Amino acid sequence: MEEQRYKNITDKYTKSPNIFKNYLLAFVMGAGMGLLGNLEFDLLMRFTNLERTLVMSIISVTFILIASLLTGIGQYKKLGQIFGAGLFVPITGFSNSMVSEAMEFRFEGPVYGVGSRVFSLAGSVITYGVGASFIYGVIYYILTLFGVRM
Amino acid sequence: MLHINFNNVYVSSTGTVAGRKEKEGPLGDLFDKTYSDNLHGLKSYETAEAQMMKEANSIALNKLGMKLEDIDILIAGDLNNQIACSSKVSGLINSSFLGVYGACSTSMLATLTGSILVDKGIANNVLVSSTSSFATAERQFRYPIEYGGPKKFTTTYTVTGSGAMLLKNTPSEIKITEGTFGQTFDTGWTNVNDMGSAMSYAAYNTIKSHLINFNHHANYYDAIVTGDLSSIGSKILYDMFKEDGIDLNNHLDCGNLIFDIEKQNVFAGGSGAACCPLVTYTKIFNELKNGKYKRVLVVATGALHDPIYVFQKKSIPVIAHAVTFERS
Repeated sequence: MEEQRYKNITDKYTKSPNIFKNYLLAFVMGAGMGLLGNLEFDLLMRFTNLERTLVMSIISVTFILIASLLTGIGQYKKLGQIFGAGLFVPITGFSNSMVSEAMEFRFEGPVYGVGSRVFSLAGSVITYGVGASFIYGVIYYILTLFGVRM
Repeated sequence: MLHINFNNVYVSSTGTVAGRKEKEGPLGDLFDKTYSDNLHGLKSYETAEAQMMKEANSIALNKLGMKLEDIDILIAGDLNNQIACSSKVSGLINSSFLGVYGACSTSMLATLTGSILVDKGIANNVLVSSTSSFATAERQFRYPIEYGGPKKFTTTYTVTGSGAMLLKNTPSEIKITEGTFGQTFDTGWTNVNDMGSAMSYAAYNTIKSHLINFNHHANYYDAIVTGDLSSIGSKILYDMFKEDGIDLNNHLDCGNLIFDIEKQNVFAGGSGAACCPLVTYTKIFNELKNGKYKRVLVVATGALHDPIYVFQKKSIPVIAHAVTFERS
C-alpha cells in the first residue's frame, strides 16, 4: 500500500514533459541530414565521373567522418542531447557509439581497451545486421525458385 | 531498522576535494581543494579519483597536525567495482581498513560504523572517507562520456570529489548523537535514468523510522538533509510526508545544493558518493558552527544499482542511512 502511494506520487513528477518537441527536433535533424546527403549526391553525380554505388558509399562515409570528428572534439553529445533520435538512428549514431567507446577505453590500452571495447555498443547493430541479411538472403533465394526476380 | 544513540562521538576535522564543475557551482569556494581538470594531469580517471581520496584524507588530518599513520582505522567506499579506489588508497595507510559499499549512501554508512567504534572506545581516531567521479561512474553504470544518446531530464550528474571526516571522542564543535542504519527497499524500480525518484522511497522510510524511534517531530531538526534525491526525488519525498500530515519545510537535498541546476546543465541535479559529504562537510557544518543550525539530520541515499542485474531485468534496491549532527 505504501509502495502504491509512492508510485502514484512518482508518476506525477516523472512524465516526460516535451515528447512533441523531441519528435519535431528528431524529424528536423533526420530530414536535414537527408537533404544534405542528397545535395552531396547531386553534386558528385554532376561534377564527377564516379559510379552511383560509389557515390552512395561516399555519402555514408562523409556522415561517419563528420560524426567521428564531432565526437572527438566533444561536441557530438551536445547535439545528440538536442536532436535525439534524429542523430542517433542514422549512421551518425553508429559512428558516435564506436568513437566514444574507443575514447572511453583508451586508458586500458590498445588490446584490452580500444580493441575489445570499440564494438561494445555498436556490436548489436552488426550482429543483428548480419543476422537480418542472412534471413533476407534465404527469403530472396526461396522467392527466386518461384521465378521472382529483383 | 537499527537505531543508535551516541554519547561520545565528535567530528574533529573534515577534508573536501572537488572537481571543476563542483568548483564552478554555488559551493565552489567552500571546498578545501579543487581541480580545474578532472584528470588532474594523471594517466586515467581512476588514478585521478584515488588521488582525490588521498588528498581529502591528508587534508582532514593535516588540519589537526596529524599524519596518516596516526589513525586507527580507515572506513571508506566509492562507486567502482570492488570499491577499487578505496582499496587502492587504503594500501597507502599504515592502519586497519574497512571497505564499505552503500552506493551514494556510503558516506553516512561509514560515519555510522565509525561512530560505533569511537563511542564504544574501540578506536580513538577513525577516518571515514567516500569518493565519486563523474568519469568513472559513467563508465561503471552508464555509457561512454562522449556517447551522444540523449539523457533524460530525470538523470542526475555524478559529483566529482571526495570527502573525508575524522571522528574522535575528544569534544569539538560538532557532535554525532543519533544514527539509523537503513533498510533496503526493492520496489521493482528499473529506470536507471532516474535514481533520485527511486531513492526517495528509502529516504522517506529511514526518516520516518528515525523520527518515530527517537520520538522526534520533523521540526526537531533545523534541517533534514538528504544525499542526492535531486530536484525530482525531493518533490516526491516532500509529497510523501505531506500526505502523512507532516510539512517537511526544513528539507534540503545535497544534489540540489552542489550545482546550479538552472545554469550548469546537470539535468535533475547532483548525485554520487561524494555529493552528500561535500555539501554536509562544508555548507551544513558551517551553518552548525556559525549557529544558524543547532541540529541536523543527514540522510545519505543510495541506489544499489548493478548494470548486469538491470540487463537481466532485475530491479534496483535502494537504501538510506541517517546520522544526527549537533552543535556541541
